[in-house]
Amino acid sequence: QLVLGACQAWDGRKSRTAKREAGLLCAERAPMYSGQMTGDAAYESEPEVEDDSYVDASQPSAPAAKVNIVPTKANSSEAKLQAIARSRWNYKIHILYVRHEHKECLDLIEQVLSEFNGMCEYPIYVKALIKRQQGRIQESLQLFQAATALNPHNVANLKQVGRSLYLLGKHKAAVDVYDEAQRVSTTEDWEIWHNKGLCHMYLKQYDTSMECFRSANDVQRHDTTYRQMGKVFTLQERYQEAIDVYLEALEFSPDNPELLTTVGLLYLRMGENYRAFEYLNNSLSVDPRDEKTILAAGSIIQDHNDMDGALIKYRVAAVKTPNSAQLWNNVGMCFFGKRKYIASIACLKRALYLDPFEWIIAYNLGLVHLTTGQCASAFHFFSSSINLKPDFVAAYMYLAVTLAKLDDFENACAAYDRAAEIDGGADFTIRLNYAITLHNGGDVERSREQFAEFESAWLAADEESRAADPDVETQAETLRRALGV
Amino acid sequence: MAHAGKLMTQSYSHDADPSGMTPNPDAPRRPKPKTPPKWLDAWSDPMANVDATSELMDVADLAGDGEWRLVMCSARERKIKVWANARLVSEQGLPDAPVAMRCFYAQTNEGGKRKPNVAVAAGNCVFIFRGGGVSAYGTNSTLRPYYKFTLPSLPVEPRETEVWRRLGNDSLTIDDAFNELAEARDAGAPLTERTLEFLALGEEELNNDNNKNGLHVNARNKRLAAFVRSQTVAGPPTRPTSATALGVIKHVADDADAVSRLIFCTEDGQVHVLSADAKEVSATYQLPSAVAFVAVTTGSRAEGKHVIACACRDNRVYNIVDGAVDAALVFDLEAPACGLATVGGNVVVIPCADDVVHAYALRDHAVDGKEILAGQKLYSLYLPASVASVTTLDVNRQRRLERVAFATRDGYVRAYHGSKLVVTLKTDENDPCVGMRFGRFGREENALVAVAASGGVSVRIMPRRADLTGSNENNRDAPTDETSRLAATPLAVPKKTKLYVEQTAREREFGREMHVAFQKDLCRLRLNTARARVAAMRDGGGGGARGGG
Repeated sequence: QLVLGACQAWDGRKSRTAKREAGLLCAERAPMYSGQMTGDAAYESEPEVEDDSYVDASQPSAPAAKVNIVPTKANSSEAKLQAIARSRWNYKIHILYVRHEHKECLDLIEQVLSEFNGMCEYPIYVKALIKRQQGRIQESLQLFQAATALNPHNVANLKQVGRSLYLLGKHKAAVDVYDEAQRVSTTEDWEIWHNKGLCHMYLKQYDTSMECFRSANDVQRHDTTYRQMGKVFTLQERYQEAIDVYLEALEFSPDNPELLTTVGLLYLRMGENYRAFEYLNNSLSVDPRDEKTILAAGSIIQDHNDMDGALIKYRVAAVKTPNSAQLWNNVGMCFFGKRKYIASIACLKRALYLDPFEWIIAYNLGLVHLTTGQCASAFHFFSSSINLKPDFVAAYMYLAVTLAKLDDFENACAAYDRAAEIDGGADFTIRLNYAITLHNGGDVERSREQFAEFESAWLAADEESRAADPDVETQAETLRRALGV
Repeated sequence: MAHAGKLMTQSYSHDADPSGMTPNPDAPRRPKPKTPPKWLDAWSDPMANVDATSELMDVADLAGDGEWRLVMCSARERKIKVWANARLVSEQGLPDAPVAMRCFYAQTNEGGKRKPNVAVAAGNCVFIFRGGGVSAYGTNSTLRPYYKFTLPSLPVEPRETEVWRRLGNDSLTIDDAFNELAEARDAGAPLTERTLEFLALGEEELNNDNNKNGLHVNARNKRLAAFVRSQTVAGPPTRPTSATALGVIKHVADDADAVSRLIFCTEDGQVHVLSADAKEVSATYQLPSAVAFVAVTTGSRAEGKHVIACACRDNRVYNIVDGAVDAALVFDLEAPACGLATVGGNVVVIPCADDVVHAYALRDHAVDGKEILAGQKLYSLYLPASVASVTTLDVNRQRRLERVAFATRDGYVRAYHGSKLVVTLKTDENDPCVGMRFGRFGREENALVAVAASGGVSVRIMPRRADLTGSNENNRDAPTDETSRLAATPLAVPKKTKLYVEQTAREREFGREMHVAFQKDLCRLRLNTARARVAAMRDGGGGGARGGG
C-alpha cells in the first residue's frame, strides 16, 4: 500500500531546478509501522514497492526544514518535528564527546540549547561532563543539577552530581548522593560502589571504603578499583596486602602499565630491588615512555653501577619531561658515577633550580663538590641540605669531613657529634672518619675512643655492609698503626 | 562531480617487487627486507571535503557488476556520495543530517545479479536506497530512493494525554495540571519532553519567586499559560524518537553478497532488526540506554547464531545473544566506548575514551586448548594516543583473516591480531583518520579507505606480504622505533663556561681562605644584626609608646 499523500519534496529549491535528481521520494509507511510492534505484526499488509518505484515529486508540500525558521503554524506534523529535533542531535553530541572533540561538541550543544530554550537533558549532561574535564567543577555541578531537574529519575545525572561533589572535596555530601542513586537505580552498579569507596577513602574510613571496593569488584572487576584498593592499603602502610591486591589485578589484566609500575614501586619501597626491576621492566615493554617508570627503573640500574644503561633510559624521559627535578638529579648522579664532574654539577644545578627545596639535590651537589675538592662550595650545599632535612645522618658526616678539610676542627667535631647522636652508633664510617679527623687534629686520646667505637660497630655490622667499601678496611688499618692500638 | 583525485596506479603495479627490476634467476636470493612492506597508495583526494566517520562510510558492489564503490555520507552537506574508482559519480541530497549509513543485501526473489540496499538513518527515519541498473550508456551509479521506515513514537501515559487535552479546552487550571503532572513524574512514569519542559519551567518560576505575592504567581502562570497555548494547539503530546546507529547482520561471513539484515537503534534504547527481505521489523529489543555503536559478530555460518553487541551511552556494552538481551553478559566500562568492533564469532573489541582497548569473549570457546568463558576479559591494549576511529580488517587472502585496526590521534593506524600488533601505517600527524573502512575498492580485494579530519579521502591497499600473524618479531611498532630514536637524542646538559672552570680551580687552591672569609663575614653579619636589633629594641620601645600615645 503506497501512501502517496505522504510523498514530499524534501527541498523546495532543488525540486525546481533538478526535479528528477533531487526530488527524492519514498513510499512512506509510517501509519503501518506504529503503535504496538510485536514480532512480525509490524505491518498489516505486504509492501508493494518495486525496485524502481520512482514518482516525480512536483506536488508542493509542507516545508520540512528546521523548526525555528518555519512560522509557528499550528499543525500536528510540525509539533512532531520539533519533538524529534530535540533528541536528534544526541547521537552526534555523544560521538563528538567520546572522541575528545570537545570544542565541536560544545558548539553543537550550544546550538541545540539555544534552539530549545535550554530544555534538553542530554546536551546539558554532556556539557557538564566537558566543563568538568576542563576543571570547572562548580559550573558542571550546576549543569548536572539542571539536568536532574529536567529528569529526576535518571540515575546517570545523580551519579555525576555525586562525582562533582567528590571532586569538590565534599565527600560526605557525595556519599549521600550515591546512596540516593543506589536507591533509585534498579541494577547493581559498580561505578556507584567504586565512587562511594573513593569518598570513604578520603574520609579516612578505610574499612568502609574497602567494603565498597569489594562490592564494586563483585559486580564487575575493574583495574581502577584494584588500584584504589591497593592505594587504601598503601595509605595504611599495609604494603604486603597492597601488593597482593595489585598482583590479583595483574592476573586480571596482565599488561596494565600503571599496575606494573605501582607494583614495581611498592617492591622498591620494600627493598626488593630485583622484583621491583622485573615489574618496572615489564611496564616499560608496554609503555616505553612513561616517565615515572623510567625514573624508577633508571634509579635501580644506577644502583647497580650501570650508568650508561641508566642514561639511555633517562634520555627518553628527558624528551617528555624536560623540567623534572628528579630526572636531572638522577642524570647528574649518573655523570658523577662516570666521573664527569662538570656535567654532573651542571645537571644537579639545573635540578636545584627546578626544585630548590629538595634536600637530596643539595646533598648530592655537596658530595660532588667535596669530590672535586671545592670544599667551600660543598660546605654550603651540605648545610642547606641539613637545613631542609635535619635528620639525615650522612649529611652531617660529610659536612664534618668538609669542615675538617677546611681546617675548621671545632665545627667538624661538633658535626661528627651530631651525626653520631642521630645515628646512635650503627654506622661505623662516622666513627672511623671522626677518629681520623681527631687524629689529624692532634687529639689522640679522643681519637682512640672513637676508634674503639668504630671497632665495635664494625664487628656488629653484617657482611654486606662491610664489603660495600674496601677503602674502609685499609683506612682503619692505617689509623690502627698510627694510633698504635 | 568532475572533481577527481590523484590516481596512483603506477605505484601499485610494482607491488611484488619494490625495486621494479625483474628478478635475475642466477642471482642469490636476496634476504627478505627488514623493513615492513609499505602500504600502497591507490588513490587519494585531499580536497574531497567529506566529514564522514566510520559509521557513515561503506563499500559496496552497488551495480552488481563486481566493481566496488565507495559510499559516504557528508553530515555537513546532508548528502550521500558515491565514488567509483577515483571518480565521484553520484551525489544525492538527504532530507536530514545522516546519523549512520550501511549497505546490506536483502533477500529477493528476483533472479539475476544481486544488488545491495543502502540504508541511511536520519532524524526519525531510516531511508533505503538502491543502486541503479546497467543501461546502454554504461553503469548507472546513481542511488535511488526506495522506501523508508519511520520510527514509531513511544506510548504516552494516558493520564498525561488527558491532562493536556483538558488544558487545551480550558477545563483544567494550570496549577492543577502542574500538580498532577508533577505527581505522575514523581511516580516514575515516562513523560513526554513537553511535560518535562512544562514542569521544569514551572519549578524554575517557583524558585524565582522569593516573595510569593499575587503578582509573581500571576507572572508565573502567564508564562506557563503562554507555553501551554503554544503547545496544546499542536495536539496531544507525543514521544517521538530518533535513530542513533545502524548495524548489519551478515548471515554468511565469507560471501560478499550473502543475505544480510539491517539493525537500527533508537534514542530510547530500542534495537530493531529487519527481516531478511528488509520489508518488516522481525524483532525488537529494549536496552536500558541509547545505543551509540553497534557491532555484530561474523564468522558463524549458522543463521541466528550471531551476537549483537551494543555500546550504550551509560558506559556499558549490552549483548543480544540467541534472540534475547543477555542480562549476565554486560560489560561495564571505566570510560565510554568510542567505537566497537567484532573479531570472528567470539570476540568484541571495545576502544574506550581513556585510550585503553578491552577485548571480551562473547561466547564460550577454546583458544589453543584454553577454555574461555563468555564475558571473560581476554586482553587490554594500552594505546599511546586516543582512538579516532576503529574498523575490522576482514582480509581476504588464501583464507580469511580478521584483524582489528585503530586510528589514533598521533597519526598512526595500528592493526592488531589479538593483543599483538601486526601492521602499522603512518598517516599525517596533524590530520588523523576520523573514519576508516576496510574492504574491496574497485576490483582490489583488500583496501583501506580512510577519511582524515580535514575531509580528505585516501585509499590504500594492504601490503600483500604483510605478516598478519604477529609471529614476526622484526615487525616492530613504529612508535617503538621512535622510543629508540628518543633514546639516541643526547641530553641537553647545560654548558659551563671557561670562567666557571677557572673559578673552580681557584676554589680548590684557596678554598680554606674563602671559607674563613665567609665565616668572618657571617659573624660580622650576625653581629651587625644583633646590634641593630638591640638598637631597635631600645629605640623601638619608645617608638611603640609613641605609637600607643
